[in-house]
Amino acid sequence: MGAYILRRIGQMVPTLAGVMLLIFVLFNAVGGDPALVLAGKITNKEQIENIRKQLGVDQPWYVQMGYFGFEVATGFTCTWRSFTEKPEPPKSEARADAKPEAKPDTKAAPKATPPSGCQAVRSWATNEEVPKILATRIGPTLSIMIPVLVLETIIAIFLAIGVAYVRGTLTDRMIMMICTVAMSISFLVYIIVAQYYFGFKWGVFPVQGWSDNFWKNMANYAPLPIMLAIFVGLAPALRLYRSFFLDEINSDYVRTARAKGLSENKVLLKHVMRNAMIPIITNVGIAVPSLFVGSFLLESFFSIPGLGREILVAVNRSDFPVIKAATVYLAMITMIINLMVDITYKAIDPRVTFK
Amino acid sequence: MRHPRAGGGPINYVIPPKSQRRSLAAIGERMRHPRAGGGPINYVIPPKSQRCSLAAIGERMRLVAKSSRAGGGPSFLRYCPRGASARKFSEEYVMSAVLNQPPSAPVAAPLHQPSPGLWTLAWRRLKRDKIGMTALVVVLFFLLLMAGSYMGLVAKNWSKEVGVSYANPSFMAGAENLEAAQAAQKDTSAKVPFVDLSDIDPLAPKYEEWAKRTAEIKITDTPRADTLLFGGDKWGRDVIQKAIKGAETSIFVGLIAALLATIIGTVLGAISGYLGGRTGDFLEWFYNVFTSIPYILLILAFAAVFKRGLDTIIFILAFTGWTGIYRLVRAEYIKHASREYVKAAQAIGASHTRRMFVHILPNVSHVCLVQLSQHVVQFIKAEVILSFLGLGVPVDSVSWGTMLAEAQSELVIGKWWQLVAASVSMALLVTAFSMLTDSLRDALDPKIK
Repeated sequence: MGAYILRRIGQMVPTLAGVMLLIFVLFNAVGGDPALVLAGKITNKEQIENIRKQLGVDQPWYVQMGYFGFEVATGFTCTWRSFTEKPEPPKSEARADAKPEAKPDTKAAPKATPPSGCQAVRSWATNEEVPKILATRIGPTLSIMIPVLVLETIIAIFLAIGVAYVRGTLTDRMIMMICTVAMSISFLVYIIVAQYYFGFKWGVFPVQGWSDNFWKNMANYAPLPIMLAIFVGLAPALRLYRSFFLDEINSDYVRTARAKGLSENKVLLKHVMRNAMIPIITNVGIAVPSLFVGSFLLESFFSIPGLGREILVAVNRSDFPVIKAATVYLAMITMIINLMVDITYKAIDPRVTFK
Repeated sequence: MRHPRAGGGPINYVIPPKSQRRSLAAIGERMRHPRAGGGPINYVIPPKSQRCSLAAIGERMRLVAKSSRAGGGPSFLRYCPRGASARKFSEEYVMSAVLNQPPSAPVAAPLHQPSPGLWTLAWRRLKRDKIGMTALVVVLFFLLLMAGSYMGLVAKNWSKEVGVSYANPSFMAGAENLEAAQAAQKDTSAKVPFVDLSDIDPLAPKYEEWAKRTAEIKITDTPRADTLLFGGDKWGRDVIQKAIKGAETSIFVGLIAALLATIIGTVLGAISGYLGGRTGDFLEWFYNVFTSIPYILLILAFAAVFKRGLDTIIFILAFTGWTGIYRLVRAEYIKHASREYVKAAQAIGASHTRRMFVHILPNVSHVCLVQLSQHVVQFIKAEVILSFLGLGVPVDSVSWGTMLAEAQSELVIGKWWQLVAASVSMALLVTAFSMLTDSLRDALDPKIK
């Protein structure tokens, strides 16, 4: 077991290197000159050159790659340049003359500069520290997505076992038909319509918003997005889980269990369920990493200050440091969760052995 | 078992199960289909007329037929191996397939009806599937619509402002339209009372000339309709025409992106599954890199870097969406690479590329087809969302996503028709496409008869 985990962690290293390479190539080679993106309408060559120097894109590619690697290694809490070139003025001041229209408060010199001269990677758009942005945005996302995943899985499992039990009947076919139609309507339509009726017309929930108080959020602002996400996620989950149950429900061991006189409940909930749980766990495991990205659609519709919305905003503003950091972090989280899911198999299925 | 050539040499015939005894077609099909598998290799000599379509059986059969025609006693296969390894296989595989047929025997085949291939059978099964056929008709209708709109036959004038702002649908002509009324009022109120300023206006002498020039330009004031068949949008454009044009964009993006993703996934999956080894490891690493980034984030990261446009969104969807297809195709290729028919192909000197794409590909193509149609649905949905967010199609074109983006604010003032038009047409196509995918999967499953 220990050896297995170690080996898996070892395998993560080349994958992570690949992710970093992909991100680096995408943003540094394909993405064009970031200075031009950042300068916007400024055409002054000197200023653009200044920004280029500031961002380090005037360096050869291998040096830039080194910067990026260093940033990843320090968790984006340190930029290599601020670490090595201490006497240089802080990044924010140089930005100030490059972009005079920026708000004065964003130009303020960093207050919490660590004594080592280590300075965090900052967002191009807001000059906030990237690790701080990500850390503050993850809370709202998780408080929406965790209830969604848990409730959706439980509801889908019990509905699916019921539908699988009455397989082939009119009820079964009707439900499957409804699922297919429900799945074909865009998520956007559900959100627009639900927000209009529940929020605007009937006033059951606030149309959008978020507060600093966790309990107020959960009672007021979260229920509508959570219910929407569950409603939309239910149809595909139900279809999938039903097929998992159908694979098991005709097995010999089910007949044996019935033959020895077990009650239907026991057959379904104990024998069939435990076997069908294995593909279900795989499926939930695949969904877990997307918890952290959150539903960026829900977050932007309901103004929830989550990670998904932050990434979307960053994409619209070409705020590369935020996207780069989010991608690398989330890739790491995904890999770790995948490993955890594989270990969970062992707890559920005693036949599983680690090679 | 009866056979016109009865009395020939020892021939390994398949004795069909009772239910299939009517024709040899069933045998032919089993033969063609390596997945049907099982049992010793038994071959049926195909009639001359079919000899060109034998690719599916494998090149060795063609050679068997050729060598026995060439005559010369017990016809052991004469072939020209390109590699030494081919010789090794000759005894193992090819010889077992040799039919010891007297050269003089006529290749008459009254019993050999053309045996249906996988695709013919699948088509037959699909035809029996009522839901599948209905779905197919709907999908074809949408494809025709797309082609028609592309060639300018329908919805050519989608961008013309034919109605008043937010024109009502014709079935609710009586409903009040505040927006249009307001706009009309603005037009009249814009005409300010005329004040004679000619004595101080320096441009006054030129007015006459300008008025003359203006008169020369013809102005046709197109009457704007109060109602349109299914209402109009903010600029008075016909919503139905917009929905058709939007269908063109969305389906085009979905189809081309799915096609590209299938090609990428199939080629990489074939190379990785068939060759394995270092190349396979490298491609697996490549796959792992793409799958370890959450899909949405990957799309957004690509969208952040590239400029907006129709070609960009196709590229993004294709380049991030090939991973699922790769996984499935790779598994199929691993399974097929060690099959006898592939080794037989090697025996007659077929190259790696030929084995991968001429011999194995037809046998996994049904997986690719089902994946293709599944991805079309997925990509159409993704395109709608990306366009809604403003990361998709450019502003001057219309897609279901941009229609929904407009509809969001329209709904608040009670104009629901654009929302309904876009979501119903999209739901119709996506439902039909998903059902067609399910039916295709069933029809192409060789295990279901």
